[in-house]
Amino acid sequence: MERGVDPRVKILYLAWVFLMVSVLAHPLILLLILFLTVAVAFASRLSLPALVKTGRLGWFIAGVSWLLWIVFLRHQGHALLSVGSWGITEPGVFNGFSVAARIVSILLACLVVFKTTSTREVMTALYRLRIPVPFAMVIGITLRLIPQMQAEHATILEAQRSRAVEFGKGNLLVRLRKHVAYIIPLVLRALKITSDLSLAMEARAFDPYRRRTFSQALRFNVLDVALLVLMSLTFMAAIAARLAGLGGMPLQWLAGA
Amino acid sequence: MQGVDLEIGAGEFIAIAGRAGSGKSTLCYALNGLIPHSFGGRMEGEVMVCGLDTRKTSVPDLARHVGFVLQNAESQLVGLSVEEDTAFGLENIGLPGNEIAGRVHSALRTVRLEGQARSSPWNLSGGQKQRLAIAAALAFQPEMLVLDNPTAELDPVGKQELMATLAQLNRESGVTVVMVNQELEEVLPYASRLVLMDHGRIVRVGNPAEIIDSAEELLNVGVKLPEVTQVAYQLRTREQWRGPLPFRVEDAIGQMRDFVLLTPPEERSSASNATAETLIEMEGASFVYPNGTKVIRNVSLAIRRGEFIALMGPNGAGKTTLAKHFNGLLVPTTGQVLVGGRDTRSSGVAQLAGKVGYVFQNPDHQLFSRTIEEELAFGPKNLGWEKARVESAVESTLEHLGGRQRARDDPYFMGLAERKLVAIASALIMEPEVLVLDEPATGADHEAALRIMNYLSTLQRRGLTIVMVTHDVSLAANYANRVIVVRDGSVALDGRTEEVFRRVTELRSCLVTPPQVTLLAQALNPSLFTCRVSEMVEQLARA
Repeated sequence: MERGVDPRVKILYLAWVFLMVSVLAHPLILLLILFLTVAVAFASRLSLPALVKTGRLGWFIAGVSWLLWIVFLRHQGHALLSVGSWGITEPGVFNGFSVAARIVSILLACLVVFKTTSTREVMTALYRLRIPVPFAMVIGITLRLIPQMQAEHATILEAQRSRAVEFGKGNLLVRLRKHVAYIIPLVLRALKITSDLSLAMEARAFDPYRRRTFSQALRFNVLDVALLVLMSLTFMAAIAARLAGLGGMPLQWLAGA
Repeated sequence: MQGVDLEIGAGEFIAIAGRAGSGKSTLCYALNGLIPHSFGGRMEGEVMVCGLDTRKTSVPDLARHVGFVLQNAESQLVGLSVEEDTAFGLENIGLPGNEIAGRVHSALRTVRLEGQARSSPWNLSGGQKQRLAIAAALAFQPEMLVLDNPTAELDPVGKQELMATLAQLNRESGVTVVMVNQELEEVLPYASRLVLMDHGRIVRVGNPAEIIDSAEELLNVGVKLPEVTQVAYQLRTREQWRGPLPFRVEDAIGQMRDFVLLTPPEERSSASNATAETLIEMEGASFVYPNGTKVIRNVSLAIRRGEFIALMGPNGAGKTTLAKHFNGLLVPTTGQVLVGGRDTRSSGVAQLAGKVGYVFQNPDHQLFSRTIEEELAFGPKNLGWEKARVESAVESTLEHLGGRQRARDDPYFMGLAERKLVAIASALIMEPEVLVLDEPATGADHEAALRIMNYLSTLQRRGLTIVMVTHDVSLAANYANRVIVVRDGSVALDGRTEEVFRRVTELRSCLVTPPQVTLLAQALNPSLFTCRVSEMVEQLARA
């Protein structure tokens, strides 16, 4: 997703990915959507290693979800592979894949949109899409606070490491107790930072219930319109397919079938 | 704040000073309507700003007339580019796009940031960030600018840039400036009136020269005198000064024509307990952050037992990054750092915590316990000390903090100075040989800063080695016996305090301003040198 694409289209792309993976359930279609989000990521000319690094928690959750489905559905359906009483079954693999593909697609779309769109563009787009200003501001400010909170987190970790804390050592309970040493300062700093920011915003005449303008003019170009038409058509096709009984998880792979 | 009566005329430059908690910030919040609209509490009386009653006018409406700038520049950043940030307020009041563009351009030009319009505000220097905050306020085309201690976290160059911008705005555009500032030598050259506050009341308002002349009054309200004022005041107490007390170096020079600066009776050096024993050694150390930014370049230095070192240099020079190598928080990309002869690469931060204590600039990053006692015990417990040893160490450390009765006090509800002292004590309790402190006095008022620095000085006299990262030349001159100046990640100057401060031209090239007293001494006698008020007073005599 190039930086030249209208931010409203980017936000709608995000919504489109979310809706498509919610409406459709067939693993092959989900794989197709996944490929599409990867292709969009490539087209955005973002650094792939950076994307992988930023989303590592999401990739981990997707992987674990897939594994859990395989474990939970080990006795259902046709076994692809058996090891003793344990089997890797078709429902386990395909249901797990569907969940993982949904997570990865949505996460990838989020990363691409937010990495190619400034906070103000996001806010302007949300405002132009008739999303209420308080909601748009919450999203904008959250995005603005992420790098600052990351820096605060790193500083607090360093401050506590300087007091001989070894966060990686000890049993789970001990580790949890050690984490209190950075969670409390982090929460207090977050409150202080947001309180200061709200003062600064108020002092700059911010009032979520007043009419505001945006100095940034948004205008759809041909590419934007083409993308909107494409997304609308595919979404309508997905709805029609589901109403016609297509695009769902095949019966033989359904969990509990 | 109580019983405050104050009238500010159009085009004035008002400086407000007083100790922490005297009501300075509250007064600022009352001027732009945040009080009574955004804070709890009860407001009596009336505040009229530009003909508007702040009680009846909303904060957004007052923002068109009163620009507001907070102490911490980063907490005010809203946009992801300089341009966006400046436009934010104008969008809030619903101005059309073309007018916003014009005003943004004009405001950025005024604060000399027009070339940075597309830059991320996070990449600006401290001084530039504060100038951006001023631009965002100026874009409203306000009649008045209110600034709450905006220079507190800036390096000397950032401070100069900011003060020059404000002076220009006040002089050329007629913008009324109301500024809280603890450093009188920075603000008084520009101020038309000085307001002194104490215990929520205004205790004196008037011409800066007249108020400075009542030095006792300033000292009583916990305000630090400019160094040249201190010199003249001490001479006055010895009945050697007859005229008014100056606050500018130029005025002091003019008034001291009949004084001569004598050669000191003997070559003085900073009080030092330093021994030859090296505790920390850096050999050809360089450090590159993962994003490729090279911050430390081929640094070699040794820190010896008993030294009190001031690590100085402009914002972004690499001082904190360098200091973080001393306790292994960072390890060099090339070269090595040895602590007690051991390479920091092979010893973790936890292992080094018993040798090198590190106190961060903001105690909020460090303190988390509900009582001082628990806070102090945290480090020793992490080091695996036995219970009895931990208890004994907590007992003896509490004595330094005011006695056993403070054990159950909650650090969260203490003032900044107290919290800084608890943070220092919680590092000291681990019995380190070296204590590294990042800006120990920043943000504290004069009395609190003195308390912290005197505590550190006592520790150093008892044999502790101290490394202090600071912008404050006066603190460095008065407490450190060695100064290391860092520029672009390299050591530019390193030597005894007197030797370093003597090299005025090189200091300036490293963006460090020498102490006022040094400039005064050099003007009186270029061949002689001093960097401390007490020494200068000793060396002065009537011609």
